[in-house]
Amino acid sequence: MPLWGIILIVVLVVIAVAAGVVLLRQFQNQTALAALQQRQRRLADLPLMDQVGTLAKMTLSGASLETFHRWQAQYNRLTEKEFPAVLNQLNQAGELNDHYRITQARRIVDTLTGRIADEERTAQDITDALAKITDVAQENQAAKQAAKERYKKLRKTILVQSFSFGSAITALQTALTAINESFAHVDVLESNGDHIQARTALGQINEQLDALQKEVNDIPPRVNELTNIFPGQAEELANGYDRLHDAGYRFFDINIPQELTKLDDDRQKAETLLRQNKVADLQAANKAIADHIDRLYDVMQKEIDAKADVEKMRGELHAFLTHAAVQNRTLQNEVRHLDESYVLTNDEVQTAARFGRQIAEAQERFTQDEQKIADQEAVFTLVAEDMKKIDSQLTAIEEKQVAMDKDLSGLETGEEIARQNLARFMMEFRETRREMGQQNLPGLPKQYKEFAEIVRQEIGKLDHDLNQVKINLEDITKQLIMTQEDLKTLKQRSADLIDAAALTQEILQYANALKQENPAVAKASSTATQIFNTTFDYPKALDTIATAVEAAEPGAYHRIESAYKDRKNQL
Amino acid sequence: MDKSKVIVGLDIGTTSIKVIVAESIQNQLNVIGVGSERSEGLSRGVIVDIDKASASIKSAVAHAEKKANVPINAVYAGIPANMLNIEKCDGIFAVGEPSREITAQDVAQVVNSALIRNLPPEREIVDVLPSEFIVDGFDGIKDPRGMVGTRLEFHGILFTAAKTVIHNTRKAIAQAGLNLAGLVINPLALGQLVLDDGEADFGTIVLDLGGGQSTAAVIHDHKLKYSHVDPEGGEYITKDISVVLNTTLANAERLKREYGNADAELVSSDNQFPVAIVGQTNPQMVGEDYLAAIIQARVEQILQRLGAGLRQVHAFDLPGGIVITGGVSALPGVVELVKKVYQRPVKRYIPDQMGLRHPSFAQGLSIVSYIAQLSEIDILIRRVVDPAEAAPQRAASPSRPAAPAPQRPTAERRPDTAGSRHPQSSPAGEPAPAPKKKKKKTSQRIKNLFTNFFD
Repeated sequence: MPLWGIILIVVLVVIAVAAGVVLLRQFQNQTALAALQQRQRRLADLPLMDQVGTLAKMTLSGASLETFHRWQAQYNRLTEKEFPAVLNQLNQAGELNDHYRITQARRIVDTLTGRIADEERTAQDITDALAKITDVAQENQAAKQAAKERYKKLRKTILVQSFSFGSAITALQTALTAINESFAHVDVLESNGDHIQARTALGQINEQLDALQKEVNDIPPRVNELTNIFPGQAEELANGYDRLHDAGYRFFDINIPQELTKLDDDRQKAETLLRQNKVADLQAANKAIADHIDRLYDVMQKEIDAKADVEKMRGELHAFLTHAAVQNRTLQNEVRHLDESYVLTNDEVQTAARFGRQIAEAQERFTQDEQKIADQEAVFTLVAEDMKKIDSQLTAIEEKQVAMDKDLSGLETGEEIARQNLARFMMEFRETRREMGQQNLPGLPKQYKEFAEIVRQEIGKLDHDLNQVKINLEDITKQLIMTQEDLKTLKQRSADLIDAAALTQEILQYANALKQENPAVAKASSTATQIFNTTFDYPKALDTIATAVEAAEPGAYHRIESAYKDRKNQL
Repeated sequence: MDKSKVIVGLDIGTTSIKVIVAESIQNQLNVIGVGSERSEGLSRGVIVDIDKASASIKSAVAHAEKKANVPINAVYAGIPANMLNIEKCDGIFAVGEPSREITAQDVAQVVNSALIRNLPPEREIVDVLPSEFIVDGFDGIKDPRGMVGTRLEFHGILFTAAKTVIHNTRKAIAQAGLNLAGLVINPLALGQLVLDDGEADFGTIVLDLGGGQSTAAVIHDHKLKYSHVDPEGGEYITKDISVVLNTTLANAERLKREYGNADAELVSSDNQFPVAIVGQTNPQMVGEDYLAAIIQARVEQILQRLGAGLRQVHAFDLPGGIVITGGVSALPGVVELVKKVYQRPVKRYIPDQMGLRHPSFAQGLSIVSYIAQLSEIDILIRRVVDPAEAAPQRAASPSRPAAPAPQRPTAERRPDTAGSRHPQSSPAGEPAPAPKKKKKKTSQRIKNLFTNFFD
């Protein structure tokens, strides 16, 4: 293909493409313009005109009217200025597009797109605002209707049940009148078309209704209390008090008639509060009155209960006091008696005397209580308390009496045991001494004799101490233990000595047969005999001779010893 | 060695049998063993059941053998003073012409002549104690042997006892498997043991307060002058306690031993002791004074009966007073009571030998001591009286460990008598060999005549 051909083709193609682009742009603008025209038409077709017309026909005033005027001005600006300007531009853009002034048309389309969106927003705002003015009016109508219903109901309740509101009825009626007047004010506002103000007024009416409703709810129970319950209770209290007083009941630290008068005063005050319709204060006052009444009932009930307790305790306590007194006399006699024979280490004499004084004092208090009851001066709660105290005091004393008696009876048993032990010691000591004597020994070691003398003296001291007019058993018990131990030792030492002496004799006897042949045995025999007869140290004598004999004849000592033990065990 | 001899004494008491083994060395007596056993088969001091008594003897001897560690074959036995007769006896014997030295044979002859008498059939001579020998008119001779003379006279004291008593004693000992080495009259031996020289000389009463009987003996001029037996003793006290306190005999015996006192004035009623009463569970407390009163009553009774006899022989006039011994004298208060009853000084004898420190051993010890102290002439005379009498040194076996070599007979120093007895130097248990009988023929025949005659 020739160059010019190619150039031609390229030029042709370029021309075709440019024409295509222009045609595509034109088409695009055309479409956009059609859409914008459509939207502009919809705006113009909105029922804004009707709405404005309707409101303009309504008798608006005050705040409602101001709102309306503001939005009406907006409406006028939209319809009279914006719309024609937009239409004009639309037409201009269509014309430019048709003449292939595509770029200019495009610029106008873009501008219009924003402008029409603004118009749509404004139109919507106007529609909403106007609709709101219409809505408030309608809502007010419904609210007023509902409030009226409540008002009627309350009025009916107040009028029909006027008795249950007592002297508060006047105040309630006043409140009703005030509410009624409020309704009238709403009507005026409505008729003036000031729906916004009317709405506020209706809110206030509802608050008034709420308050009234609360009063209507709260007052009847209080009225019931003031008119029915409190007077009945007050009367019952007064009557009860009179009856109790006649029956001998007395009260401590409280003046019931005065209290009843105060109660009446309080009721009057509550009545005033009711009349003044001070419901909150009334509530508090009534609560105080109820508490007061409860307290008075409580005081009286306590006295009644206390009297029953007192009646029950009087007999028991009387017997208990007599018992305690008798028992303490016995105890004191016992203590006095034992005090002659024993050294009492725990102040028993004083303690028993103290019990006596405490019992006498309790008796005195009991007598006073009894006298008060007889004189109808007794406050039973106080008497009951006192009697309970006396009772617990006596119980405590009795426990101590029993404990002391037990301790004291231990003295005599202890003495008896001590005497038995002493008798046994004496017998065992005699037996031991006699057994030693029966050995017919040449003498006894000094140490043993001294120890035996100590034991003898211990037993003698025990005997002496036990045979005093007054004995100290605690001390004696200590001595008993010591003496018992020493006596045991003495017996053991005696037995050891006897065994040693007997064995010495037997081995010396045996040694007699050996000593001719054995000088060592002969010497030991002589030494042992010497010890046996002079120092009486039998174990030493035994050791001396046994060693020698054992050396001379191994096994001899053990043979003799075991024979001795066998013989001893046979006895 | 040759001067040591082993002597075994047997005291057959009513409540206990005691065997004392002693060694006599140079006149010193060493006790080397003691046996003691409760008696059976005895009553009031004499054997009434030979079998039982011999068993007890056997046991006591075994006991002593074990203690002394020597075998025992022969014993000297005590004869109680029951029906003991004491009389004087005189004998005369012509030594011959011309005068010559008097031999043991001559002494035997003169003693034998003194024994010739008419004895009642139930009696038997037990012992003869020489008072004096007279050689040709010279009196006061203790041992005439070796003297020269033509005429030998003998004055002595003759003791006779009931044949039954002696026979039973011999029989029981034989049955116990022992040889009887010789008999000893109890009060005679006791007097010698418990009295010192002065007491024996000036005259003293010895009271043996035994378990089964009580014996009073009067010693004067070193001679047993009088003896009397009261058939009551410690056993009776025990029986009294048992009956009065209503308790068993064993208990009563224990109470007597542990709490008894013979003098009620010495004890206090404060001192009490428990008594297990028959038929009661809890023991009852009894005062010691009550127990003492029971004991005192019985002891007083015994003392009074013995006292009646003693008074008759004016024994209380003797200056030596009274010595008491025997088991009952171990009771506290007995000395005081005897003093009170007889109003004479009283002391108690307790042996001071080792192992014998109890008055109940006094009799047994006295037998041994009596034999040990016999002089040669005494032995000679005893052999005349009892031909079975053994030489003391052979009474015990020579097998004693302390005496290793066989003993030489002492008879060597007395050729006649001892020579004739030479074969007997073997243990006494062996049968007497024939030579002895031949040599002893003359004197022995006469003696045998008497003994056999009464058998």
